[in-house]
Amino acid sequence: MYAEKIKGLFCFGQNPAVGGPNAGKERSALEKLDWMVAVDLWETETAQFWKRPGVDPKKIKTEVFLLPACSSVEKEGSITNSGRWAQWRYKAVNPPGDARSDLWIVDALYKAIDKEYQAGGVFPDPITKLSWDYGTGKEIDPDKEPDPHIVAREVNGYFTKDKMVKGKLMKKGDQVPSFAWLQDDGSTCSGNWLYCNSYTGKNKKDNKMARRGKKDAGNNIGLFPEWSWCWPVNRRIIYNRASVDLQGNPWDKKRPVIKWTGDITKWSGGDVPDGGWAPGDKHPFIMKSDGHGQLWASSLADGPLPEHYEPLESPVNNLMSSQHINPAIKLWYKDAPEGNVLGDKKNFPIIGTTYRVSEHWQAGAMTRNQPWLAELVPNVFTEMSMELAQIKGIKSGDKVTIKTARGKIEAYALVTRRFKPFIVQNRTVHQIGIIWQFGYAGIAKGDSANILTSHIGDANTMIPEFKAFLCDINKIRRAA
Amino acid sequence: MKSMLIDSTRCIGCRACQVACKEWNNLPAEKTEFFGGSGYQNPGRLSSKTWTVISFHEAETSTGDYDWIFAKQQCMHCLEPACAAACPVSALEQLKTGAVVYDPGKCIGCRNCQLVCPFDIPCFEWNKAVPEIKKCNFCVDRIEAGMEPSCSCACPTDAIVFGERENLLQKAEIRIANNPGKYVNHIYGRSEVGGTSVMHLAGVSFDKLGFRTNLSDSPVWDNAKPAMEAIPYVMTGLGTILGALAWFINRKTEIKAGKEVKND
Repeated sequence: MYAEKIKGLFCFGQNPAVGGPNAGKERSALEKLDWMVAVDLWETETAQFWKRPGVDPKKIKTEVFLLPACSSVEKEGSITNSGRWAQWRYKAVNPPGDARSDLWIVDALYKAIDKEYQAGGVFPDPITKLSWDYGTGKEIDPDKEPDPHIVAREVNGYFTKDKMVKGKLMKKGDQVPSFAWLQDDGSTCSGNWLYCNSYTGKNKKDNKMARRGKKDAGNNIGLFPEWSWCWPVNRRIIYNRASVDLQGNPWDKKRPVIKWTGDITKWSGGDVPDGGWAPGDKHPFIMKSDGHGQLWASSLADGPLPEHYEPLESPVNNLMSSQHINPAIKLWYKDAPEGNVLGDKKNFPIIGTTYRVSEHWQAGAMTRNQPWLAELVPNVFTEMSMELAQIKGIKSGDKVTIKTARGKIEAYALVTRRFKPFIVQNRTVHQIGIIWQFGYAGIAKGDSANILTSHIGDANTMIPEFKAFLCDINKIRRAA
Repeated sequence: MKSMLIDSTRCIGCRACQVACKEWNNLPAEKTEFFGGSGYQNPGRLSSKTWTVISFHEAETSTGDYDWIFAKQQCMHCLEPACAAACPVSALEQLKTGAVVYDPGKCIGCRNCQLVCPFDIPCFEWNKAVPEIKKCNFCVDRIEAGMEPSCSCACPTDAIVFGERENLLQKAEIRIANNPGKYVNHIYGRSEVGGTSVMHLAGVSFDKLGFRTNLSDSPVWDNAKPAMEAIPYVMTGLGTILGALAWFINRKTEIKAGKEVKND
């Protein structure tokens, strides 16, 4: 985006102007866009990057659209969690003003794009021939909410023609019962095979994501299989065949997950077995090429065995290895040097890290606009040890500046015994911690700590190295 | 008698109780800057707009590290409330549920309740023309509707539990007995000032958490009555003057704030 290769950006509930690493550069990158659409509950820092402190809106060419969005209780639909559950949510109240669900926005967006392509364009087929009917007609209608049940049924998948599968005649329009029934001849469709089995009939009662059964399974280990639905096929613990020995008996007798009960009755217990094979017939880690859990992980870019590396900015040498940093990480300071500068331990001797407070959620838009939560944590602050505070002449409540090679922020100082200096290689090293959830929008405002962090991508996930950098801290104003 | 048991060792300092209290009771947010007390404590003290506050206390742990211990401040709902006894017009009264509640229609603004309260709970709306006394009312509207108070309802760790006083006392005793070394052997509020409906358990001595530990087991009013009867009229006058003063100071701040906005 900074290199002007990306022209437009849709930001659905994302706030990279606060949450992105090296946020100063990310904000400048937004200026390079031709257009940006922010879909959010509030006018976030990202939505108003063009009028942020220190810039002249007249000099920013980006056209910005802010679409007010519904909150989760103002629309019907599903949420998924990292435990693989899909849970259905009901609409409790109408949204305020012109706020719309993201489903309405995407539906309207498709109709507008389709209209453009109907008039011609390069390779229009993927748009003009798309199957797209969620009950709102051909034209954009501000009062017609697309039906999330149609979407959910399509995500599950249905038969597009009559077809015999597993000895059963499935009719055109029938929901696919589970992913093993999906066909490769166009007779079935599915938005995502993982979710096949989540919505198995035409009625709302067939929506397994909406189940709220509070009964635990027979093995009583807290699986609660009738509460919502879990991909794949409501299996609550994947690779659960690893929980039994070669005879199919649970390793943990007190907490059995599944148990082999013989060739005819097969598996029982509580969870859905991860494949119906007899114990010993197939290794349990079925999605791995060798079927095993892996300590020796050949698929990791920095594998096969774990190694300790220092963060890119570190005040110490790597004591564990001659290789200082992870050689497989993405180093933006090499690939895109502008603004991606590094600091050294001479100018920036202190370790910086960032974290959240429970009073604010992520980049803060939802909580820094709530007066009761703003009351609890109204300002950005940094925590440090008594020892560092004494060296720097800082007391709790003082205003300080924190500087890295990338930028500078102001924050209140909170001196606490909970922080202690490290003794590393016979040297005292100090650390400070900064709350990163602040920005220039909302009721509770403050500098964003991500102004300080750098663009470094983890070797496998590209998750940025937010949590360790080198900085310096100095007092600017005594507490009032 | 309905009661509340607050277990400091279970509190994680999330302050959902503070927000739930303001939400249920329609209390406005206070304008805060940085923090009002130790740690992340905000606001710094109870006020007419803040009926409960979690205070943060930094303490050394058994491993030599430092961590926070939390304590919840709110009206203790005394079994023999001094505030109700000291009120000349019965604006404060104790209900059958144990809740000590306030009727602004009866209040004459003498602030005797503030003077006699052993826990410094009742707060006066200094900035209002017709000020009222404000404090936790035990969510009496919720209790009467068969619900628990908003703070205990919001607590994610069951650090605040609501129930019958006898049951909670028993629960507290069991916790102390079953967890040697975890608690100090004291249920704060069991007998202080004749007993309170709000009771506390803690892992460190209560004076370290800001609790008064020099209170007698007899109701406050028994000792305070003779002294209090001599002063209400003086205090009434002083209250009016201080109230007027607060109004002017606030007004000045508001005007100044308005000017600053214009200057932008």
